[in-house]
Amino acid sequence: MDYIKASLDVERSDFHLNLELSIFKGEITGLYGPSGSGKSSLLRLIAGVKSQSPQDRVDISTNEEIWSSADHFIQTHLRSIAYVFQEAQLFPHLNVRGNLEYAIQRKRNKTDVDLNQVKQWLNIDGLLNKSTDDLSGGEKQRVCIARALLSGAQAMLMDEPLGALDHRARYRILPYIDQIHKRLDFPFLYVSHAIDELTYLTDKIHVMDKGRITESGSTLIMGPKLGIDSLDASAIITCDVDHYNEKYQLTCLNFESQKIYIAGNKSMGESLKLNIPARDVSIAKSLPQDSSILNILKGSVVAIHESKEGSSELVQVQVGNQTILSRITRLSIDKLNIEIGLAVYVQIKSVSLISEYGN
Amino acid sequence: MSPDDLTAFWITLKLATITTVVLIIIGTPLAWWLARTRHITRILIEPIVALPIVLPPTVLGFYFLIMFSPQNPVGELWLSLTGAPLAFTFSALVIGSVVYSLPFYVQPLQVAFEGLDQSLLDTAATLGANPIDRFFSLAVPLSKKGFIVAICLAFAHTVGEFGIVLMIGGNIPGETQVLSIALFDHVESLEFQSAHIIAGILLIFSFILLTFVYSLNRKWTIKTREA
Repeated sequence: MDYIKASLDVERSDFHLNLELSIFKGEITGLYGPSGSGKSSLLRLIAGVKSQSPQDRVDISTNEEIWSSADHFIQTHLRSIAYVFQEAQLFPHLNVRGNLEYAIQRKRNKTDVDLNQVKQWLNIDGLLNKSTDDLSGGEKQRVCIARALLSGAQAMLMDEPLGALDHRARYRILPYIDQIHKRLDFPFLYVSHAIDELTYLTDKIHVMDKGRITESGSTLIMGPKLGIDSLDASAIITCDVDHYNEKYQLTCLNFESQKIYIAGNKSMGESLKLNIPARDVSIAKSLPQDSSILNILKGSVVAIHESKEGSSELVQVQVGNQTILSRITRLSIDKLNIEIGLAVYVQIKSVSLISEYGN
Repeated sequence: MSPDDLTAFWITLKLATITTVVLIIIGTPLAWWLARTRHITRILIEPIVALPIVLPPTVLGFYFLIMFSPQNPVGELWLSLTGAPLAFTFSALVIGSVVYSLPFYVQPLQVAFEGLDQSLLDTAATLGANPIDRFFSLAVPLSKKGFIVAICLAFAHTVGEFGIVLMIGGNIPGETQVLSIALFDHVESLEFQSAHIIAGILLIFSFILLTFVYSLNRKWTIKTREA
């Protein structure tokens, strides 16, 4: 499957969905919006699990077939779609293996994905004989994703799959999802209201509000823009491991030809992804000489995102090919005369590691 | 127990078993439909299913008797198909029992089906399971307790019926005489010894079955409290 196109006009007493959306293979399409904006309804219509009434206009097609139109409707089980819900929907009367076999027995297409691969990708080998009650939230969701992949799907819909998990569990699963996308080239729609997840995973973000798509753009631009009013706005960067300094117990990373230190020995992987919260990044115009902060990077301001409310703004600083976000006050911006194009030093107070795939 | 009472015992067992099997076949889809439909006809079908709970069994028996008579289409059809009248036969008892025990089978099952998590069924659909597959692979195992309760109640209720059997069965030993009627006969003829045995059997049977049904519910409550 190369793409899914949806064009909808569905009105109910409590919402009105009116939008057009295309999901192409080769990228992860993100869908962002507050709860109640119609994200889940959109996904349910694409999957065909939401009931439709005759006055609805639901046109959904792929490059291969029409799933829904005025005179045509293909039932959910015949649409080659994998769907991962927010609440892990494991079948309670089957154990983990039984849940996976349920999908394998009903596989709709010949895909190259087999149980051995999926077990490895999602690191669920040790869970197979467990009861679903004995799994943690993150394990449940990984099994759900594995099961969805085994059903022979040609496209993936994820509806806030990490919404029920805590911060650490979320960061542990994100790399798995990223990995799946890299290995399976099919249309992939990821719904979330967590900007860090969308920044990490997606290539493109559509913003939904009150049943409409209000804004669309590449994640590089949309990520920081959406993060302005969010307290946990953060940049996600990729670094290469340089070496481990045993004396200080720090791992030195290479980030766009500059250095970043993180605590502990993280030198087992080759590349790492780090999350840098914007509130932990400050800006200086000259290199601070006597600061306790280790991680100071040189870059240039590419954008200043004004927040609608509050006293702070989000400054986007380009370092090599990646960007770092800094939340500073409007007063500081005026005082330092920060403007687009200005060369600055960013001081990073804290970074957190988004765990490597396989760990 | 006299040979006649023993025969009545086997007939009762046969009637309850056949009735329960028929109910599983026709009552299950009916319960599924009632649990899931929003169709307008539901407001008529639901009370019709529940009628035997409130109607005196003799009322049902009376209408069945009329319906089974060869002067009426149903009785006439039966006569032309089998060559014998329907009233006062074991088949008549089965038909009457199925209707009489229908709510006791359908209602617990309907409740179980209504309690199913729709998103699990949706998930199964996204995994490629068609509607019938979803029913057997998901709805049935997840409603196991509902099935057990429904089967127990339908069976016990058929064993315990009296009025309708009297009306349409005609109390023919070896054909339509069941335990509850044999008991009535013994009391009428002041044979209290035999009456005691039958009454005791029915009492103990019903008590054991209900204890089992309620113990299922108790287990379930403890489990949800822990969760």
